[in-house]
Formats: sequence, C-alpha cells, structure tokens
Amino acid sequence: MADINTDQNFPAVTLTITNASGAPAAVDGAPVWATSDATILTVTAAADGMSALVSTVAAGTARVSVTADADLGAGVSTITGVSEDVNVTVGPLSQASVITFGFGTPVPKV
Amino acid sequence: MADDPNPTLRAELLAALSVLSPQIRGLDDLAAVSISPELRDAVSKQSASRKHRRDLIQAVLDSLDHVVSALRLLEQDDYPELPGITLVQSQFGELQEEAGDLRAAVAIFKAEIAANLAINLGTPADKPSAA
Repeated sequence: MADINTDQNFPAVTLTITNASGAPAAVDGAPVWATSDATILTVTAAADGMSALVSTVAAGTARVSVTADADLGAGVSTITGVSEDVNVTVGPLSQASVITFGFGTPVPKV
Repeated sequence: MADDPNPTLRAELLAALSVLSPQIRGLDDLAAVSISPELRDAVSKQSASRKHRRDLIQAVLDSLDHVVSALRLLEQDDYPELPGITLVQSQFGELQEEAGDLRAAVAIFKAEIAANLAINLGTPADKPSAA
C-alpha cells in the first residue's frame, strides 16, 4: 500500500511494460490510464501513455490501472496493470484548523 | 515529364550569360591593347572574375540539361509504371511452392508480446498549491 495525503500527489508515475520473459516489450498505441475511484484519485496521462500524474482528491483508498493492446498487429489483446492500493489521508493543509463562532443578534430575555 | 524542371532559373541564367559574354570579350580585347601594366592587371582580374562567374552559371545549366536527359530516360523506361512479369507455368509453380515453404517456416515463430504492465507510483510530492 502507498500512503499519501490530500496535500500531495504522485507527479511522476511510470509504466514498465514487459513480455512473459521479463524483457521490455512494446504495445499498440498509447496505454490508457484509469482510477478505481475518481472521487479519491484522478489520473492525467502523458500523450504517449507511458507516464502520468496521479492527483489526490479526497481521503480514501483507490487504485490506478492501465490497459494496453499487446497485439502489435490488427488484432487486439488487452493487458491490464493495476497499482498497489493508494491510501489517501487528509493532509495538514486540508484539515480543519480554525473554529469560528457565530453568536447571532442578542435578544431580550422572555 | 521530360520538360525543363526549372525554366525560370534557366532563363535567368541565360540572361546573366548574355550580359557576361560581351563583357568578357571586351575585357580580353582591352587587355590586348597597349595599356599600362597596372591597368592591364586590373582588367585581367575583372576578366578572370567574370569568367569564373560564367563557368559557375554554365555548370548549373549543364546540370539542368542532365536532369532533363535523365527524366527523359526515366520516361522511356515507362516510369511510373512497373508492369508485372509473366512467367511460364512451371516457373510460376516453383515460385508458389517456395512461397508456401517460406510461409510454413515463418508460421513456426510467434512474436513475443507484452504481458505485464507494472505501475510505479514514485514518490509523493506536495501539490504546487500546497508547496
């Protein structure tokens, strides 16, 4: 599990694509990124799909996933990668820090 | 297609030659008459300079001629057509058999394809607005 708070993001999330032997491999087109819960994490992928910015939105747990077409020809063979759980907590800057009282207007006792 | 590829340039260069040629002839004539050595030297330098320019222009004109000539040969070779070749049946059959063998050999192999996508989240960093 990766821990992060709402004042932070993951600015340089990268993708490693390998074949069954563990050697680097290519995919057809740009990999497509997604998040399991957009209310907790958002993903902005680079144009080539090989990296992304993952931003926090609110506290909770979510994952980032990537899909790509492993078939370099005309066919489609979809492979998927899923990140570890990302546990988002409320950051210090987002936490409540000031309590303001509103007394309203004084009125005569009954 | 075998027309001059740049008639405008050719016309411009021919016009330049028509200016240079009488100048060169005149300078050469001038160098032959009875003039001081200093003036002869100046005349000779100008003559050499203009002859150099004339030679460069002529080189470009020659190159344009070569292009026209090469284009004409290309056209005579039926460019851009590339007609298919007819073979006698036995030779064509031999080719097909070879092609079948090659396809069978290629089919033995399979391309290694991507199988794993690993996401590296990296290190968290403060958001720009929180920094």
